[in-house]
Amino acid sequence: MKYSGSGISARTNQIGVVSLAICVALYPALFGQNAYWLSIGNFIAIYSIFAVATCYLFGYGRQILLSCSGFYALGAYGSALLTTKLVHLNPWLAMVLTAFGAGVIAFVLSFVIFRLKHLFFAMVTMVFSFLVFDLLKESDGVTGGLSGIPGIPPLSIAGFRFDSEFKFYCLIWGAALIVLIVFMNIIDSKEGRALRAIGSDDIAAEASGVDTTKYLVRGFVISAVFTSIAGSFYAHYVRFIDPYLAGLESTVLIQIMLLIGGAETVWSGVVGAAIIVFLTEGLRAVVPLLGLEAGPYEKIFYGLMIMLVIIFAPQGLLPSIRNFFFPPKTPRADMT
Amino acid sequence: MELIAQLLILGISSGAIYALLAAGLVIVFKVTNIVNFMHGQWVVIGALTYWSLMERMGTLAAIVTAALITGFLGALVYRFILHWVAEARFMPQVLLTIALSFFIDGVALVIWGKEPRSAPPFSSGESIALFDTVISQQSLWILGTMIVALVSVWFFLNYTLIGKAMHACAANRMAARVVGIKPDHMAMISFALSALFGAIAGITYLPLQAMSYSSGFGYTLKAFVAAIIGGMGSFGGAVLGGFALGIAESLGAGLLSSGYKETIGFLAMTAIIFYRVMRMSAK
Repeated sequence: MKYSGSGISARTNQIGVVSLAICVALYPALFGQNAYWLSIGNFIAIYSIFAVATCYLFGYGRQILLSCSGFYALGAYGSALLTTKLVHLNPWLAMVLTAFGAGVIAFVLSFVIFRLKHLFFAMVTMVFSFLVFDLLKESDGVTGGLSGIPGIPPLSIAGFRFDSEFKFYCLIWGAALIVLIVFMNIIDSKEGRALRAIGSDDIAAEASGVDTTKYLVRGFVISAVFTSIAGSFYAHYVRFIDPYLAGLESTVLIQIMLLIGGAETVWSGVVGAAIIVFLTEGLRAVVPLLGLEAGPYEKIFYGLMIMLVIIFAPQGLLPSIRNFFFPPKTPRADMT
Repeated sequence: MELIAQLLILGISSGAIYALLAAGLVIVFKVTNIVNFMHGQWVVIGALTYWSLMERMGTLAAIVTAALITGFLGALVYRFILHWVAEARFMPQVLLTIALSFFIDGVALVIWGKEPRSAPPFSSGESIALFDTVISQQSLWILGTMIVALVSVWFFLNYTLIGKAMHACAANRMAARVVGIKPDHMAMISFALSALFGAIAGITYLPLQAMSYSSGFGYTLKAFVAAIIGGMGSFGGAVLGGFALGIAESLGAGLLSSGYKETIGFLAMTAIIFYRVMRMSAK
């Protein structure tokens, strides 16, 4: 199977970053200071960070990673515990410490998981998420069990608190843009090239002198660190967390976002997050109008969406649409 | 001592359910190479269909109808959905089955609602006292059904032409095709069988354990843990793995803490996986 390169040139990436920044700046101007629309924008940014971090190993490395919600929950809980119950640390320090902790956990975990392939890899990474869930649920003395942790303080810089939707909007999109640029650079560096080679054919990569385990481990640690940061932002934004963050639902949601974008560029994370968040909100608004309850239809919709994409657009939804209108000169690889 | 004996009996009856589930999972895995992450949904579909039909049709007719409907759905799901990824790589197959499990959960929520459903036991009688322990009649039903189901499917796989054709597909798909076996048909039959097994497990377990639309994924995990403990490749191993998991969970929940019931199974599975990987790399 051939891999078509990172798919996007540095020039396109620059144009993309600038146009994303313009969109982000225009969005509040368009919807004014409406809290509902701003909160949608905030969630898109948090999910973008989460999705881009997952994309690194899932999309480029093509590892079937089911542990991302575990690290997301670890990040959220780490931040929450360090800023409320245990010690009242500065939220930023707490975020960094938590991300460091997540990196260490990922490093330790990687000694075991990268010895495995396919089913065993998927199962053990999934088991990690479940263990995190069980641990958060059962140790209710520390984590509050199923009722979660309320009252997490908002982020602040030198006394300036990001406590309103608009203030947080500016902060989170700034962070999301930085994360995006960081990942663009990682992907075009030696690390990213090695990981892409592993993703397209691990045996060929090994044969050409790529130390596959080393780069997978590094990729896993990077992915875990940024996932944990996304979790920390979530905790400081929503200011209430419960163990269900570690459930399989968040993992699947992120994978839908990446599948829609095709997972072949970092942009799939941002675009997929925006499409899914808007569609979900649309569904929540439209289904009650038909006199039905929205809950079940969300699940049906997610399931149907992945099924249709995998069966009819295996390269990802957006790349398939693009290839339909602009057929590529060389055949492209399937996303999955 | 009494406590341990009682826990063992509880473990054996839930182990029988896990054994049936793991056996279905392994049959599908061997014949089609698909790792089915929506296996537990058959349990829910079977059990809840039985619950809907129970009062209208009487117990026996409802059991048979619900099991057959689920088996038929299994064949349909393969023919119209999983058929598309039969030749694909591992990742799209897994994502597709996870997506299907979400889809079916949603549909089940629309049809049956949120409340957990339960059913009366098949026979209303006193529990049987054996030495110092008590065995509920439903546990005996579960064990009996499981033995009948597993023995008949074992005969089916080993002594009928279709069963042998399925063995051939499991061994080498291309060679099977060369001698005139249609792997697609065998895959459909294996899905129908595994759905049937799931439904039987769900129906017989319903009187002991209430089920709701969202219970499916839990059973999928149990099936995987049991199948992997048993080696993820042999029918007998899956059955043994099911019993081992049931007993380990029951002992762990009774003697240690009920909150970590699932964790015990996961840790056992992880240990087995590493034991196998280490042994393989040592060779």
